[in-house]
Amino acid sequence: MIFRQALSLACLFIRSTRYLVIASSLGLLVLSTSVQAQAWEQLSDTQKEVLTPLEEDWNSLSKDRQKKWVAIANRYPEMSESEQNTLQSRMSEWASLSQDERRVARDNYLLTAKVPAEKKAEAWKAYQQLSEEDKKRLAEKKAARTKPSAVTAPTLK
Amino acid sequence: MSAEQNNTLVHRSVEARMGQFAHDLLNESSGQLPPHLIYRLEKARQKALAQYQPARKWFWQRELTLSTGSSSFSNSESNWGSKLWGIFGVTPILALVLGMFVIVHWQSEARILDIAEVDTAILTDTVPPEAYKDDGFIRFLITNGKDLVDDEKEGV
Repeated sequence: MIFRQALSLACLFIRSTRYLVIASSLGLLVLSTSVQAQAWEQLSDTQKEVLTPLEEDWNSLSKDRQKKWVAIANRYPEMSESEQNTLQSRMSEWASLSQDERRVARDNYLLTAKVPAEKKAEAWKAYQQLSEEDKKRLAEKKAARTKPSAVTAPTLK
Repeated sequence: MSAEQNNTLVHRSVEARMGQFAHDLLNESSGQLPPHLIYRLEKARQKALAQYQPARKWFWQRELTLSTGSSSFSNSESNWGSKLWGIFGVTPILALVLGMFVIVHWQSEARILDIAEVDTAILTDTVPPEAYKDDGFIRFLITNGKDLVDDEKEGV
């Protein structure tokens, strides 16, 4: 009898708060699957190993940037050995760029994402042979012909 | 008018008078009840009122009544605010706020993951990150260096 009363009370409570229960469940699901910002000590051993180049500056990074690096570290095991080495060798340099420089680099990467890797490598080699004057002229032409757009690569503060 | 119809009218008139007579008799009798009966009736009424408890409602089940004196706002029958509150209540509003928080959080997470994907691609690409922050290289790559050839032809 008491059990039936308790059950009916529980049903009544769930019926009256069903929207709240659904939203709360959704919230917990999203929070459980999201990437968390963590103090260096809270990172796993694998994450620490990947993010070693950033150890000194880790605590000064914003929460969003910490989350981004944790997400990159989580992708690390799926990379080939050469990709892993390249990534780690470039991390410090990338992290030291200003927010604006990173945004420009992301914009430019997305702009040339369809260009084959070999062609990019050849062009980079040829570009480095150019004089500083030629490089400057090319940069000016790029700036003059780039239309301002509302759609740019996402940035993190 | 036929005799039958006349009889029916007379019959109804007698019924009405009998009813009025019974009504008057009962009203008169209620004022002449013995004191002990009046006392018992009063006690029974007080006992019933003491035992009466209004049904308990949670705050989200209550109707919103704005106390504006005798205006129609306090009348739940004609109060649209109360009806809307009754339909929606506070629980769905809380759920809506929570849902919006979840959506904003989810969008923020999705943006961070998108950036992580782009950054991973840049950091493992065949050319170094400095190439992508160099607008001159991007122009050179997109045009296959034609700008420089055109400039030479124009004698710049």
